Amino acid sequence: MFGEGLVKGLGVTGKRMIGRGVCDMYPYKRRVLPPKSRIFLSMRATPDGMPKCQSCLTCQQTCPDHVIRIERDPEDRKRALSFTVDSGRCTFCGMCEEACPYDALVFTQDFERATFEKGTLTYRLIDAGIATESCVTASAEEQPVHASAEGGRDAG
Amino acid sequence: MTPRMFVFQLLGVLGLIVVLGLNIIIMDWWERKLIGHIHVRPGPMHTGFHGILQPFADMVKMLAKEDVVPTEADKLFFWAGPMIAVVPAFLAMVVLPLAPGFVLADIGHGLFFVFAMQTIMPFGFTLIGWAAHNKWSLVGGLRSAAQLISYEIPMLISALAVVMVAGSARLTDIVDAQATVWYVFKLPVAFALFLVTAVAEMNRTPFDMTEAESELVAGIHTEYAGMKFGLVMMAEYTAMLVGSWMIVLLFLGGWNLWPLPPSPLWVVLKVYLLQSFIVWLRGTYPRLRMDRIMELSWKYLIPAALANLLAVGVLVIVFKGF
Repeated sequence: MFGEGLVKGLGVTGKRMIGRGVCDMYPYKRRVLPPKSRIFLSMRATPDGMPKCQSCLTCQQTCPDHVIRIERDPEDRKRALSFTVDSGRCTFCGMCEEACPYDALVFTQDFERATFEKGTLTYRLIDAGIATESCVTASAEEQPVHASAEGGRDAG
Repeated sequence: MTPRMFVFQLLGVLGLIVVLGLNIIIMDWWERKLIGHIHVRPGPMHTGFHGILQPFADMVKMLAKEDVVPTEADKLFFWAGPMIAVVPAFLAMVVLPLAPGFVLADIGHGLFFVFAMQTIMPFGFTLIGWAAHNKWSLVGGLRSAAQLISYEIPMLISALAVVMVAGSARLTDIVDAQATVWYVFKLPVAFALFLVTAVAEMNRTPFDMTEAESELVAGIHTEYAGMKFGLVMMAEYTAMLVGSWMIVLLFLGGWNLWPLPPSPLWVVLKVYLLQSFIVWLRGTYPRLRMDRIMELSWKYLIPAALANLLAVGVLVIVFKGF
């Protein structure tokens, strides 16, 4: 009554105006993500480009959403010719990572993978038997992704 | 008029144009910043230090945009409307003093000159709304006409109380009369009435029925693009400057800041503090409904302003000068 609410409202917005903001200044500063966040499915590889995948197809069978497609080398059954991930279908449940007996699959924290088309959401981790640049090499893996809170796309 | 005076006044007019442009540049950025902080976000950050170059980016954008004129629009008034809105606001600034003697035209009825100029502004806004041939624009323009005309009455009546106490309608005299005690302390009711009506006259939220983006798309500037839109915005920001400047001169002591010596700096400081306060109001209050706005003016503000005028008149007679 008598404009008490008007003054109260001004007080609320005034406090907000002076107080600290809550925004992440995203392109300039990156948030440090929780260590177990699962965002981008990747594969461990040796520095000379050989993937750790042994083409056992366990992940392909485990995946509830049929995200992973592996094409096996007919001559060498322990070698995958291609390893395709349709991340548009992925629910990031992490079952493939858990199931992998060779510890080859890994979820990285690289979240800057947005695309303009659905088709480009599908990417290859192994192409023609060689690890693509989407894979994590052993040296890069030693440093946790985005732990420095700054810097560009150092994952993947 | 001597040639020297003519040159001086010409320079003064050019200076006023510069003031107008500077005010828009400052307020464009400052309003975004303040509203942003009220919303707990930082506001413009990408252009320059804390987005300081944002108004220039806006200007380049407006100049580069295609100047669309609707086929059905009244070409002449679509073009002339923004100017009819912006020129009176600019003309009103001619009589507003910054310091004793530092004014382009120190006329004896400066207060009423400002009111006379503000009376033309709703004409410009209504023309803008009508010429665009768009139902949203038309509704916005008609609302603007109704609202601005209704709020001029209590605004003028509450300003009359100041004129009675100061004994003059010359703006410099009114400010000089507040050398020690500002009229905001002597006439608090008149100040409150004038503040509310001035915010309504400036078309600012909670009274921005001409724009009313949640119901009228963008009100009168729905069809405007490019620099014509810039002119409409210029009219609104200039109206805000003139309104705040008037409040500062009439109630907040103008260049007086007792016990410090009078200085034009205080006027600038008070004007921008007041404009920030108006932006703060925008960030706080929801928009009133159109019929409530009219009700507020005709049922409450005009009787209150008249009663205040009567009370101040009695006080002036009884206490001889108040």
